[in-house]
Amino acid sequence: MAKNRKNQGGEFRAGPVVRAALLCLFLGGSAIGYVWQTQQVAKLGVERRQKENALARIESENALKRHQFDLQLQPRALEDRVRALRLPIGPHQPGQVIHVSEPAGGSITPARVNDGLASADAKPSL
Amino acid sequence: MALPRRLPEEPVAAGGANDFNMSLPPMTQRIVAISAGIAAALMLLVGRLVYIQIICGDRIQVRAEKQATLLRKRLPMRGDIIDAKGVKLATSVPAVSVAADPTLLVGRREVAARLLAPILMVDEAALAKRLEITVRPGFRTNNGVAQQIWLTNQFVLLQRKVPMDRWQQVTQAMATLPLLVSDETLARTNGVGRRALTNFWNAARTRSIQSTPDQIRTYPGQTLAAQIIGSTGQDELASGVLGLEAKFDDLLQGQAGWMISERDSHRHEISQFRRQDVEARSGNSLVLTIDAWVQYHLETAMAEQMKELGAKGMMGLVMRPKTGDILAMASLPTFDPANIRPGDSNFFNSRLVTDQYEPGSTFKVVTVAAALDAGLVRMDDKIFCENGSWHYHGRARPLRDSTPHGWLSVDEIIAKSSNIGAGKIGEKMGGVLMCDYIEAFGFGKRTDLPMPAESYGLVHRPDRTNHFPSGRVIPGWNGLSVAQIPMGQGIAVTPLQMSMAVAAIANRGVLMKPRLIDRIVDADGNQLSRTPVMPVRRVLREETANAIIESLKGPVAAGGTATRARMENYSVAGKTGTAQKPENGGYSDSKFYSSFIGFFPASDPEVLIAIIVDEPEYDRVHKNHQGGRAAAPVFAQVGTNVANYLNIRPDIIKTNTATASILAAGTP
Repeated sequence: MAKNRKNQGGEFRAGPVVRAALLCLFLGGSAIGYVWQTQQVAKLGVERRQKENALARIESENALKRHQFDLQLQPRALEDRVRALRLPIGPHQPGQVIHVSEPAGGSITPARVNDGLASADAKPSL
Repeated sequence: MALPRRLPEEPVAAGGANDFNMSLPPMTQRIVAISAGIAAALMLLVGRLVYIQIICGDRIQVRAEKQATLLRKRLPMRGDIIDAKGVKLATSVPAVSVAADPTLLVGRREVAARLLAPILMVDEAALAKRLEITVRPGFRTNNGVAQQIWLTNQFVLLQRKVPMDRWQQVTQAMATLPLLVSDETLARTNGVGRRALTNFWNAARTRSIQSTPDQIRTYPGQTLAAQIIGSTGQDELASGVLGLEAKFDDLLQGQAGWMISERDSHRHEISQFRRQDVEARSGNSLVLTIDAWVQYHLETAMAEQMKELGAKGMMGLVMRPKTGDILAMASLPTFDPANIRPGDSNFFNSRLVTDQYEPGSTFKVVTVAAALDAGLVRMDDKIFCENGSWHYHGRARPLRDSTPHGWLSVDEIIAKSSNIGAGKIGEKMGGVLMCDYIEAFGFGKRTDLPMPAESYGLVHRPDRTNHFPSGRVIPGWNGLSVAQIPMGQGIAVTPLQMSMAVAAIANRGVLMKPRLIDRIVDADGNQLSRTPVMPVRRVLREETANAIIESLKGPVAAGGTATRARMENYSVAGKTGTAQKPENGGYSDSKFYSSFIGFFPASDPEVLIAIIVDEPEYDRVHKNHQGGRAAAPVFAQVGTNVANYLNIRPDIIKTNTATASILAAGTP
């Protein structure tokens, strides 16, 4: 009997079904992949924005801390602090300065140089 | 068979509905009708599409892009102003400008004002008033046609320059603001609806107070070196308006960056669609020759003395004569650059560069130096000082000395500050030669210190009519000028010019260009440029300068006018001045500029200090208004501190008890 659309054989043909399934899988997979990728990009974008905000916040905090440090380095602030803590520090008074005159011929006397050389060159006694 | 009767008054149109109904089956008729309906609807949609896409396409595209595009300006941080040792004198910290959208605060205006007023430190009632919704008419053009619209105040700037910690307090306070939706409404709504409603009103509350990036210019030293540093305006770039902030505004300001991206319906950036992202470039920083500690010592000592003397003002300068480096420069009263008050405008500029005054006796140094250099006098030449009163060329009003003197050597004229002696030296020189030297010392010209509004001073040539940049015209010297100018009257100089002239003597006759900016560095600290140490010219021969330095020790020595300028371990050279202030076409007998300009160690000058007191309280009995009493003690005080701080090698070594005991202990 001739096979046509109305009179088909009873056997199951897997090929077209597999092809159709693969096509569906491909299309579905592509769609899901696209959505997943888009979601990932969006997620990374959000993360990036959050990290940028965090960085800006940290930089701002750093700037404030640097500013506090700058304030503490000011002469007036240091002097007030020294006064508040009653620290015995300040510019030295002329009476506290000891003036030591340097020897004219250099800082090491010849005798001492000779001593040093002698000890360096001395051979150990056997 | 009977034919159907056709009445002539009932015409049947050919091909009419009846024919159509008759010719198609009912199902087909329905399909055709529905198709026609769908086609008509599609045609309408296509028409609308054509209208939107083609006819209005451009306009709508612009609107859509505008709605979706996020343009964010990146604010550059202004560069710092730093002293020679790295102490920051001016710096910027991030801040925000706080603004409100009153349309989102409907019904909660008073509550919001109550929450925000203490944080922003403003009056609660005034803030509540500012948060009121206002409606005003406005115009908008639509296809070139002006349309009247009503505008509401959706952006009300509440405060600029709000520090970040206060902004955090603002956001925390706003989180406690009740939502506009009532609890009953929320209770009536369930599930997703309630969440959406809560989110919506939360977002509205968040957006009701907004912030935009800003920066605060701060001056950690408060009033320290305020007139040098200057101040900035209230704009977001903190543009300089005074002092170095104004002079170097372009360098300090930096370059703004920007970011162009897309935003979602919540106005959040969709960072994956970021198109342009250009970082802001922070401004460059100025590194000054000023030393904050020296500046502090100078300002403190000046403030104490000014109070003691009841003076109107005071100026001071500390510099290195060998390089022209200015270590400190101050004039009092001063101002706080971060908190400018209405009356402060008189103190904005550094009077050392903007003010010109008649220098008085300090100018005698220039006269004597010029005469010595020209070989017209020698240090041991004797000049008769007319016993204190000299009717110059028979003039009725005599030149006077405060103490009568007979014969004085040139050396003694400086030490005893004889006006008549200086006048006679000037007469010996003649006007033209005198004026040549005055100009060589730098008077009458700007020093080109990078400060705004520097004065030229007022030096006029003796032999011609003088036209000044200010438009002023002054004829040549009159008959008295040649005797008057050598003692520092009839000439106007700036304190800086006078200091540079004495510094030229201290520098063995070489005039230096003053240095205030040492270098310019970028935000990473890399050096971009450096101001070189620059000699201007040799004004005096070295031997003349040495002779003058020797004679300048005279005023500080016993019997001199400035014994109070003495320092324990350093030889000091300097000159006092007590110049009467011009008043009513003459000179005041009770208003003075009292000054002392000196340097140490005299054997090898390392530091020059100029102290000028403006109108110290006149003291007829004790003469405390005179330069030797009003200015010289400040010199000694500042000098001792600066010498200790800079570790300058003493040239007078006295064996004190500590040294003696150590030396004694070390003796075998």
